Amino acid sequence: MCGAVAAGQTVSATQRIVMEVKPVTRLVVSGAPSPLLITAGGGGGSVTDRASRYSLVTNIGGMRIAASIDRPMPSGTSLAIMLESSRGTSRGEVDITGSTVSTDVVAGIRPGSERDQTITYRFSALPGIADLASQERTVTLTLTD
Amino acid sequence: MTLSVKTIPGAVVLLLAVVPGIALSQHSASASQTLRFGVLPVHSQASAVTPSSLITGKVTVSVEPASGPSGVHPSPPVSHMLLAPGSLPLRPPRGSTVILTITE
Repeated sequence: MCGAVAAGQTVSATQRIVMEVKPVTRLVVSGAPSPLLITAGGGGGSVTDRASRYSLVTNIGGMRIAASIDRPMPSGTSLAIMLESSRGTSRGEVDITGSTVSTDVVAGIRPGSERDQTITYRFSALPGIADLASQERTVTLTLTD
Repeated sequence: MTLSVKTIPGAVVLLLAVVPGIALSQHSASASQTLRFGVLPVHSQASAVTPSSLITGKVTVSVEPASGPSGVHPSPPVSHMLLAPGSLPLRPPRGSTVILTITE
């Protein structure tokens, strides 16, 4: 506010400014993993895929990423996942074969952002699994505190 | 977390807690991805390593079957089959050794 001021007088005006930093948590996956096909034909074995990436941004400390699948894997097979991380601690290769309940794969993520970190999937079959028709599973990654 | 209370007349109060897979949080974000997987049978593998378009001339196949488990006789050997172009009519027993010979 301002008005006519006589010489030698001081006038002040105040204003209240409200500031707030809201919590930010963003997680995005990209890339299309190739079909994980084992061609051992009964001899068992495993295949890996590293075509997927994830990026995140958060301003909250101590975040973690958990992974789950929509249905358990078929008997005699397994699925493992590994996430690289520069701002947290990767748990390495984590078995999520039956993980319809989330399992931590990265912990202790510090505030900041990560971009295009590699996601590695490993599909394995025990010897004796000679023929398994193509199936799908949905893998969900959750960034949470 | 969902919390419900159930009372039974004349008995104690039971507290039933249903904990979801991920603890509910105001600070979370999710992303999903679809994975496809499978195990190819032996005959598909054999077909994959002998693309007919690359084969000229006659192809002969001999199979040395692996011994089966106790009480199961090994399959008879398949010797020197003449293959038609574009096909590999072979389904060897698991663990067999397949020898392909391409001649003129």
